[in-house]
Amino acid sequence: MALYWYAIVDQADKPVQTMRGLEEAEVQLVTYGEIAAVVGTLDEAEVAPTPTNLWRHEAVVECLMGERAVLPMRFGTVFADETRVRASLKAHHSEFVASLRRIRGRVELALQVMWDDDGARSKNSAASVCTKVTKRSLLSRGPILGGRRRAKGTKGNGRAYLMALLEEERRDRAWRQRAETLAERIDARLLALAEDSTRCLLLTPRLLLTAAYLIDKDQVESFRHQVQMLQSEYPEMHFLCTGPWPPYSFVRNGSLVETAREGENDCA
Amino acid sequence: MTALSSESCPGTGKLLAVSGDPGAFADERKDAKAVLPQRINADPEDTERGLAQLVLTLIELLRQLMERQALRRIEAGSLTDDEIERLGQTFLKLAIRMDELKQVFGLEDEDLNLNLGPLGNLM
Amino acid sequence: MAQLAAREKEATLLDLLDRLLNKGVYLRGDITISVADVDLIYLGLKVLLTSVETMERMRRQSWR
Repeated sequence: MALYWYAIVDQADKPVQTMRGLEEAEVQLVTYGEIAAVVGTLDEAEVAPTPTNLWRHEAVVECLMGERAVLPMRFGTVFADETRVRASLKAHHSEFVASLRRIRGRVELALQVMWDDDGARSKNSAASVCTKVTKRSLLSRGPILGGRRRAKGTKGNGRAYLMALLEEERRDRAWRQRAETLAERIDARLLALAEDSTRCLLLTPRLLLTAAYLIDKDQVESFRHQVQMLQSEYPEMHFLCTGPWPPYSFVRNGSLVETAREGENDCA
Repeated sequence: MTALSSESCPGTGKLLAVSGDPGAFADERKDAKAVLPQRINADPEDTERGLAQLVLTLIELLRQLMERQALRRIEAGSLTDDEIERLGQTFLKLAIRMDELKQVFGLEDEDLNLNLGPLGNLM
Repeated sequence: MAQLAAREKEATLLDLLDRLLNKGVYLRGDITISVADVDLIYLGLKVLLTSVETMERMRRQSWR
């Protein structure tokens, strides 16, 4: 028997509304000062990340958000008993209080922007030199002369290979610069509506921008409107905006993740 | 008692705006395997492949670093034509050899990388 | 159209997955069955979106 941990909440003195989480167990509060952990008992030794379980975890967290400030836990956080949960709350108390204050009344919106210009980034030029040389050396393998086999016709390939790499590098740099400029322009428009954001440039060559924004609950419509405006301004790109989500991306826990206001690119 | 339905929950009302095919985004992220953290395989039944993967990853890292060094020196003009040709030949041979080794162990380019969590990928 | 709805659902599920599995407050419990630790080594995203039974079978069989 163990405890599955859903979230950390404020208003520890207010009883949690009745709801069932994983394994249909009723959620309970484990309090410490003004904060509390929302937990549920767990019989199973394993918690599989199936869509059903994931959505159940999410449903509990979202339900809590209706009436409190909520710091969502990562899926699969299981503790042995109340004592250990409480000890954890105590150990990170000030950090949790600060995080709760930061996200109170706010939600997270996710954004992805795809563009078609993947910059033809495949390592074609250097790779093609490789292939040409391989083929040539395979074809020119003649009888062994004096114990040494020599690949003919490979003069100049060394230089060609490095030049191809150089050219590739230059194209890549220019492409990245284009991406950064574009992404920054889009991000700036949305950051204006947000308290904070995390953003990742070129998670894949086609995913120009992957970002999360921490916004006030009543700003969701304005945000959506901005995204729609951006869609019409950049018709050649594809936008996807989902939410509102609990602030998963904005609960700092001593990790190396820095957000827009404090640091640079966040691709965690 | 608040009823929390799970199966009917998925996706309801979470899509705020989309232009283009929403599935394309899913496909892109799945391809990138960017959603789940990747680890070096530690399955004891496959130690040989796991070891090859680790070793080749390190070789690949060094290879790329050295190539980049060479490019910087070419740009700085501190290499003779002869040196460029010889270096290039070496790197070329190394690149070809790496391809062969990858084939032997059934490894793709994406396998020769390490996910360092918050620090991103090694290469 | 059912197909579009499914695609939308998938895109949203991925946003959810990313959050629940990679983000949120991360504390190690005393029982080391945290999904983030062990199980994810054996899971691929494609596997995740299939049924639980298939997932269990694949975990036993393959390493990826």
